[in-house]
Amino acid sequence: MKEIAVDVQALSKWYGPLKAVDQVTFQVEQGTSFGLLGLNGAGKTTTFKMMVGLIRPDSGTVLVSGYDVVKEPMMVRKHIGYVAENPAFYTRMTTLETLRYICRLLDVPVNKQQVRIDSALELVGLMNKKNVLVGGYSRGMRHRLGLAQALLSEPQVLFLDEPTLGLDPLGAKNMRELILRLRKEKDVTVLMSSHVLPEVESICDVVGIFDHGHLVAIDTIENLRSTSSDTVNLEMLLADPNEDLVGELLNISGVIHVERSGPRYSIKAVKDKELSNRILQVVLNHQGKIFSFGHKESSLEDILLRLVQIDNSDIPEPKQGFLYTTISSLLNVKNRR
Amino acid sequence: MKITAVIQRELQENLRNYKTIFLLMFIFGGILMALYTEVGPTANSTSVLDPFFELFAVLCPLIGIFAAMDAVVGEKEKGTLELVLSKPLPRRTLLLGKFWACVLLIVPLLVAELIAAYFWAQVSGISQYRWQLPMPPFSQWLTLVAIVTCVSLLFVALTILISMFAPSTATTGLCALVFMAPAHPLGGEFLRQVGLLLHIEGFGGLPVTVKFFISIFSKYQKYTLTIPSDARLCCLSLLVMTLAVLLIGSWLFERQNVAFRN
Repeated sequence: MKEIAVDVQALSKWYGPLKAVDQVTFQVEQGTSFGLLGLNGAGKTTTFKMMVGLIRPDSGTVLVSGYDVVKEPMMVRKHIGYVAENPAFYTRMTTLETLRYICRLLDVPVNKQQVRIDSALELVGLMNKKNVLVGGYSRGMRHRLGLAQALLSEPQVLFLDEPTLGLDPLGAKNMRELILRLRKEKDVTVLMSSHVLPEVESICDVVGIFDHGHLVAIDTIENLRSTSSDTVNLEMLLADPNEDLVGELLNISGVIHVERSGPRYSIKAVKDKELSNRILQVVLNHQGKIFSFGHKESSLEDILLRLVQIDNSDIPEPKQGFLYTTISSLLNVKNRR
Repeated sequence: MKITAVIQRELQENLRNYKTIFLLMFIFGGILMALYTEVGPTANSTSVLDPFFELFAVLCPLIGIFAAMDAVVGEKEKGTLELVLSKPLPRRTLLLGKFWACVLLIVPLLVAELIAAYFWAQVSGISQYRWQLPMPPFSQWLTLVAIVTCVSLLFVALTILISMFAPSTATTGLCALVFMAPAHPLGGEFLRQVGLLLHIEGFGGLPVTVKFFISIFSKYQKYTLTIPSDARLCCLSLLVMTLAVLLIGSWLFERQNVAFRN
């Protein structure tokens, strides 16, 4: 049994009348890569910030590496690395000055500071920018410096909030490779939130799906694929496609929908062990030559959209200023009179 | 120590963003204004201490506000507060580090420039030449320096406190300006009216506790310039108020749910 790196129990957070996070409970094992998924406003970032100790939870507990985020915030922050959504730095400081400052905040012994800084810069590929002012950095470089500063504490748990947000495809690819390399070389537990689903698929072992402040699913991507639906998607490629076959396939019991695009047939059907045999029988009866036939895996996007409820009912009214509310309430009183 | 790291970074930032140079010029400009413009002593003045004090009673809160107006909110605006608070740095340490950086910026500048101004006025004979008045004794001048420095520090603490809640640096500055009322002639008028209402003449016979609280009024500060015991009490009161504001600020900051920039 692996050690638990992050233990979240019944975590809740209110923003005025809006419950941003509601009784969220999950655990992340040491060495695992955990992805937080959800639509905008689902509660991912709030959960993330509560786990790091930047926001105080209204109820519930978070233990990171065995330390309580509320009771022992300094110990938690000593053992984690955190990269914000938009990593920001002091623009008038050089890379080296920035990292030295962070080392001092982390209580890294003076004789170890340079080694840690060099190792982090080497890993993120900013070694030749040591004496460059951070103000001149591109977004991609800031993300890499964000990762470098997070590594200075030699973290057991690394929190990455949208690590590739705003990066160009090459920058995003480099960042992805960097995170994977980090996992491999340092064996850190990675918790990341992201909207880029292929990225989560490529990095994370386990994902938690958030919806309206609730954690609606938590499992490995494989398990989510196999259990999250009663239906299955099949794909078939034929040498001699024809439209008549669509009708015949639709007559097979269990087949819900068939779509043909050239030689490619996409079939949606209920889960049934015998279904593939029945479909193949129909195709062979129809003298069809099959190039390929198999399951089409549902993407993480399909799983996410299936699990979350898309509605705008609890989006709060825009908050008005004090002056506006006072004047409008006065006007209302006047109107009533 | 983490506080020294914060102070060092703040001082470095103040040098690189020219805040130090600007404050140096601001104080220098104030001294020039006091010595070489028509902001001279009134008919009741006994020395040039009065006009100097009246000018610096307004300038010093401004110096404090300017030095500290971006303390917390500036970091929020830049997004660096999230970076710093995700590290094992207690919030009170961050706040105190920022305060001490302002102290180290303001105090040497104010003290050095005002003492230099005294000697310049002595050497050049400007006070005799322009107003036919002598320069005050050096001890009284030092009292002036001490009081205006303490006023600056109180405003640094107040501005840091405001910057924790204000939505922008500009709003912080504007809100802090409101607290300048006691330094304004309006503050003096308020004291006069209260005195008339309670039939109190002068500050001499007031109990120590009352003197403690009225130390924030420039009218009382000006009165203490020539009375060493009251001047000491005034400086002490201002420093105690500064400490109280800092403690309240630290306590609130530790409990604040900071709205970080996305």
